[in-house]
Amino acid sequence: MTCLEIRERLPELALHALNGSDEDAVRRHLEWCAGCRKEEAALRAAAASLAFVPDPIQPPEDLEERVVDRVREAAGRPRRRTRTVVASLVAAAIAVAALGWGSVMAGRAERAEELADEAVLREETALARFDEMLSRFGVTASPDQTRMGRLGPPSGRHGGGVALMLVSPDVMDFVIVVVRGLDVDRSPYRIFLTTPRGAKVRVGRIDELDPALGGEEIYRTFFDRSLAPFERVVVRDANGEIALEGSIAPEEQLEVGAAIAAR
Amino acid sequence: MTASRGEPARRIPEGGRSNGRSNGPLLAREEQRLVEQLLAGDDDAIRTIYARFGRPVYTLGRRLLGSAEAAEELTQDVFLTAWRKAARFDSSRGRLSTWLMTIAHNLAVDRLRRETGVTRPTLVLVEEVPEHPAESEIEPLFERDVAIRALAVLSDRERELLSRAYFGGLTAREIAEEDGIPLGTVKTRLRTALIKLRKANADKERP
Repeated sequence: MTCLEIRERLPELALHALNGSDEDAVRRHLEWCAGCRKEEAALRAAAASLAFVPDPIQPPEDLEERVVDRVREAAGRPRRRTRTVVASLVAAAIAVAALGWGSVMAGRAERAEELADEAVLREETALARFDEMLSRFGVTASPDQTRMGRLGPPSGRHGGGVALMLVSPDVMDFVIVVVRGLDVDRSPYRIFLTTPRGAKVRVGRIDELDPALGGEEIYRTFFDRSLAPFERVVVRDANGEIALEGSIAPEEQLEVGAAIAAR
Repeated sequence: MTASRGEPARRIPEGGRSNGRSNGPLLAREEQRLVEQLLAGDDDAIRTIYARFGRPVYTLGRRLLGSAEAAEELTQDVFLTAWRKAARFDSSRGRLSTWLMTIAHNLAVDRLRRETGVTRPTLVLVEEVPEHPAESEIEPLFERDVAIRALAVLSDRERELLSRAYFGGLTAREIAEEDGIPLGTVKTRLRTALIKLRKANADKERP
């Protein structure tokens, strides 16, 4: 192709809108033609400027770490933290689910005192069982690495749940969310973790709830990223409305511990 | 012990100037050094580039591909590709922003074309540039401001055509077929629009 023919195609090349065979021919020409290369560079810069036009959207907070890990891995450098997929934790998660948290967390206790006592007992049992489960598989988690929080519905709605999260530098972070008593007609439900600044990551999606199980569902998700910034669990229904939410903030774990210690 | 994550590094690349410009657009030499450090897999370099361009890359992914998941994957792919191509980056031939966003756009369009049934997105018109940008956002906002002003010189039809090509991933042939007009006409219009944009961007010189 002549330089004239090449330059007629440079705008499309800059926009990545050129057909395959033409693009190959243009690129071969650019390898040796400085004049066309200069023109191409200027048009490419103009096209690239379009990338900055859309209103900026904040990426998830943990995306940076994933990017860093991926490039480091490609560059042959060790990952920032040791990431060992502990397959046994999957089995452990199933054992946790068998605690029947869902059924007791969505209680309809009529007396506040009864609810509070039940809650402390459940939390005490749940944490103890969780620690036992982790140690059985060789994972020693300090108290501030495990977090638990109860999920409650907004006013006018029913249901309940619990979230349990492990944040550890040694093994893959994971979260288990148990929900119960949700309205099956408002499926699918989406479970999110959110940070105080509003960044969020999706934990999972519940497409169908089995009425025979009282609308109970258990989610366990492993993350190849740090869950440390996430302090809140939100479950939204098909309309995007909040069905359940609760805190798993580190500072609130102290309250749980204090309540257990007071018994 | 709860895992802790520090703030992304914003240090001046080695050899850069410390005259308060470290959070604005970088000099050619600084960009070259930064990409060389990226090639070495240097954490600080990765984080510095991410701090400047992570959000525009992610935003472009969201606009072209539609979903957060796809945009997250794209962002990782972009930085990985940038690492792979880092040895070929030459700051004397163009800016880091152009190089990186070209990688991002090309990867996004390639993915868009591979996926069937994807609704072609359209350009979202600009509303406002935030008044109090974070330090790491100075360069992208500068780029955005320049791009917005440059787009203002185009006609509505030229903007629409560029949008379909750039944000919709359509080739000139596809646009011609969609509109039922000659391919040569589309090519000429695209060329005219982009050259106008180039001229309007001409004052976007490296500081």
